Formats: sequence, structure tokens, C-alpha cells
Amino acid sequence: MAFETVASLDDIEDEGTFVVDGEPKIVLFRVGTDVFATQFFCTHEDAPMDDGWVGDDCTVECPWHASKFDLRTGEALGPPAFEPLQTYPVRVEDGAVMLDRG
Amino acid sequence: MALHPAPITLTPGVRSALEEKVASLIDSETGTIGPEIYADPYLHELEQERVFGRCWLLVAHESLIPKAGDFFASRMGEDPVLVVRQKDGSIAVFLNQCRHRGARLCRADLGKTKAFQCTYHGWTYDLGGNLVSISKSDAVGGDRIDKSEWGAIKVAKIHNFYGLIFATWDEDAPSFEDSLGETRWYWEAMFNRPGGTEVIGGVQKWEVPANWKFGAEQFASDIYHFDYTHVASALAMMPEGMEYQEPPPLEGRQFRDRGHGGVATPMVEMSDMQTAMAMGMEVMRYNQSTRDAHAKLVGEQAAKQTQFVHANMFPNMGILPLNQTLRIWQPKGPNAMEVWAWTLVDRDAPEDIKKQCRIKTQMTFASSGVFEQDDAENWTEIQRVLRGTKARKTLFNNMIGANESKDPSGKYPGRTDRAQSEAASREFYSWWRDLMLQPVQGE
Ligand code: FES
Ligand code: FES
Ligand SMILES: [Fe+2]
Repeated sequence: MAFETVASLDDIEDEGTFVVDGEPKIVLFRVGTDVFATQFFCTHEDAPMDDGWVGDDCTVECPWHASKFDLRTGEALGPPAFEPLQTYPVRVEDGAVMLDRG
Repeated sequence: MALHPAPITLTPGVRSALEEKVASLIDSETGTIGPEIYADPYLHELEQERVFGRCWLLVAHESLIPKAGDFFASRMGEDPVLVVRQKDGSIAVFLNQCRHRGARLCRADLGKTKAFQCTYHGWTYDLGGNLVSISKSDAVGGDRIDKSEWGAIKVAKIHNFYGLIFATWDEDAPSFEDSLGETRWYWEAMFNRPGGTEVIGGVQKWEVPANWKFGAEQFASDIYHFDYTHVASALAMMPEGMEYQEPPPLEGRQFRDRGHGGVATPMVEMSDMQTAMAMGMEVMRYNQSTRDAHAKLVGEQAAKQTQFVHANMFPNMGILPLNQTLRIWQPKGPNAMEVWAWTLVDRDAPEDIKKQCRIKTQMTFASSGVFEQDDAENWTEIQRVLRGTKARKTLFNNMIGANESKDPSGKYPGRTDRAQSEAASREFYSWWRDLMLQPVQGE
């Protein structure tokens, strides 16, 4: 698959999130001028990750039970979640956010 | 942590015995009070059910929770509730109690969150109080539980009155405006401010070992105590070199209906002087500068020819408009109250005016306020005397004032009496009595 434009950088607040509907459903996270993408549901109990707390250290904290994930790798950094979040490649070009759903 | 005495669960038989007692303790005609209403733990429980379980109660000011996810941990009587700003901008109010084993959903006093996760076993509720996750669901068979039936208990109705957030548990409660009855004009005048209001400086909470009704009743109807209770504080607040003179008799009208009460005075010049003394010249001038804009909202009479002195919205919201303190008299068992107080200011007031208000309120009516301490000492005194059985059987006199019904000048609407009266106090207790005699749903 290839990169497709799914949002413009201005659509996403800094340390905010943006939902990309479709199969699979994906959440974009913005940290400064970087954008990351992960699966929509938390790997622990299915919390919607677009409600998570985004940290400027490129992490997101689950809104339900506060597991933290590394946005770059998806790695679960603390319990109760252990499984990583699936991540997806993102490119930001001329203010356009491009996503590769794989 | 000290727990207050174990609550009593009332049965139908006990309730009807208590009804008889209530009927005999408050004589609305003559205006006598049997003081067991301030001390009896059984009456306290009935009061929780029939007064706090039914009335519209102040739970927050909207300025405390401006953004989605902001919450304020409040109370409705002895029940802890969460007041939460939703993603769509609306406000939800629900019992701060987990449906699993009843721990509080949230232990913080206020803050911002995405969801409420119970600290005990981790059940998680969304901003609206709906149960969204039973922890370890797969392992513990949580799927067999219908989450939609196990959300936090929601209040029946919510109303935003010029930024003040009220809630009631009673499905059948009258609309908030109707619940104000003939006193609505006065509350509109106090709270419908140009640009709206906000509370600043955080909430101050302090405990007074006295029944909550002493605070409520006094704010509804008692300016009578001022020259005795507060004379030393008033002297201390006098500007250097000024002689203390006997204050002129307070003109104006004491309004009352449906348990509410307060005083409006046409002595605007004198009130401005008092504002200058209590709040500072700058605040007085600022207030004057807002009167034209205020008159556009509430009319000339309310904005320019009237100052509101003190008021209590039944059951437990007190305000002193001149001193800009807004408070809730939270019941804490029959023998104590927790006062929750805020400084209320115009949202559009300049920062230095807001700061002045905040500082001056601390000096007068707040945990450190000189007048506040005078009042708390009297209430504590009464409660201490009520430890005695003889004392609890001795009737209190609540007969001051003339029970006039109409303002002879025709300026002030609704039933009103002279400013120094106990008509609003009689109204407070007779409304309280009426509610105590009527069962609520779900008893
Ligand atoms: S659902 Fe994300 S940590 Fe529990
Ligand atoms: S008491 Fe809340 S999860 Fe058990
Ligand atoms: Fe007082």
C-alpha cells in the first residue's frame, strides 16, 4: 500500500489527536511538528486512544487505566497493558499528513 | 480519619413518628422552634431524604469547569457528587460512588480527566458517569454484566442559572425558576450581571461545629444580629480617625417565598459607603460604573435603586452581595457543617478589581474573616448548649417582625416585610417543615 493524505497538520492540535475512520480505524497523535499513528483501541481493555493524554516525550497515556505507550514503537511502557499498540508509518509534507495503512 | 457518627437507616414506622415530631417542633403560626431540629440524628436523616433529596441544590459555578473533562467534586447534602464538563459543552452531575463496592469514583477535589477509574478494582466510567470498562473483563467474566445498567447514579435535573449550576435528585421537582417562586426578581437582579460572573481564588472549606440551618437561616433573615455580634469587628474596620456612629435604621424589604429569603435596601448611598469600607474605594467605583449595563439586563429599580444585603436560597446557598461571598452550608451530621465559600466577581472586571475583591473578602467573610468568626462563634455556642436535654426541649423565639406581606412603596415584588424581621426565617422553617412532612419517591 502507499501513503495517502488523511489530514492537514493544522487539523490536529499540538498534543492532540485525530481519528482516521476506515479499516482499520486509526488515531493520529501530534507532538510538535511530528505526527504518529496507532490503532484506535487500547490493547488492554479497548479504550478509545483518541481520548488519551499525549505527552511531549512522544507517549500517550490510555484514558481508562493510564497505561503509557511509546508513540514511535507502540511499546507498552507500564501496566496494566502489556501488548504494544500497532503503529503505522506517517509522513508530513507541506502541512499534509500522509498515512500508510499497510 | 475521623468518621462522623454512623448514619441511621429510617423505616416507614420511624418516619411517621418523626413526622409527628416535626409537626410539633415548628409552629409556623406563632413562630416557635423546638431546637431538636438542630441536633436530632434521626431528623437529620429525614432531612437528608426530604430536603436535600428533593430541592434544587447549588453544586458548582460553571467557571470552575470551563473545558471538556474538567470536574469539580461537590456534594448534595451528605452525598458526594461529581460535576463534569462534557465534550459537547454540557454539564453532567452524578453520584461519586462506584457501583461495584462503592468507593468514590474520584478522590480529587477538582481537576481534569478523560475518564474516572475507581481506585479499588479499576472499574472505569466515562465523563457522563457511564460504566465503560469492567477491569479484567475476559478473565472475570465481566461480559456477563450489562454495563449500561451499572453506571453512576445521575441526578434527575440540572439547571444553569447565570453560571450557577444547580441539580436535583427529584424527577418531579418544579422547574428551577418556578422553585424560586416570588423571590425570582431578587435572584435575577443579584446574578444576571453584565458579562456574567465567575468564582476566583479557589474554594475555601471550613468546618463549624454547628447545624447547617444556623448559617442558612441567618443569611435568609438576620441583619438584626449585626450591631451586637459584629460591633467589635465593625469598629476594627473603621477607617483611621472616623468615629463609630449608630447606624441608621436599615430601610428596605425582606423578601421571602418557598423557604428563600433575603434583604433588598434602597439605601444605595449608604451601601456604597459600606462597600468602600469593606471592599475598598476602587471596588465601590467599579460597581457604580457597571450600573447602566446592569440596568439593561434587570431594570433600573434592581440595578440602580437597590443594594442587596444578604440572602439564602433554600436550602443551603448563602450570599452577601456587598462582600461578594457565595457559599454552601454543607450538612455534616446534625452537629456540624462545612462551609464552602467562593469570592464571586464579574467575569469582565479588571484584574486589579478582582484581586481587591479576593483580598477584602478574606478579611471579612471567609475562614479568616473577622465577621465570619463572630458568626461561627455564636452558632457553635448554641450547638454546645444543645448537648443538654433541658436545653433541647426549650422553645426558641422566632417572632421578630410584623409579618407584613406587601411593600407599601410598591417597589419590591412578592411577599415582603421590614428589613429587620424574622419573617423570612419563619418562612424558612415553615417550608422546611412542609418538606419534612411530605414523602419523596424511593423512601
Ligand atoms: S484500556 Fe488502556 S490501559 Fe486499560
Ligand atoms: S469498588 Fe470500584 S471497582 Fe471495586
Ligand atoms: Fe453575621
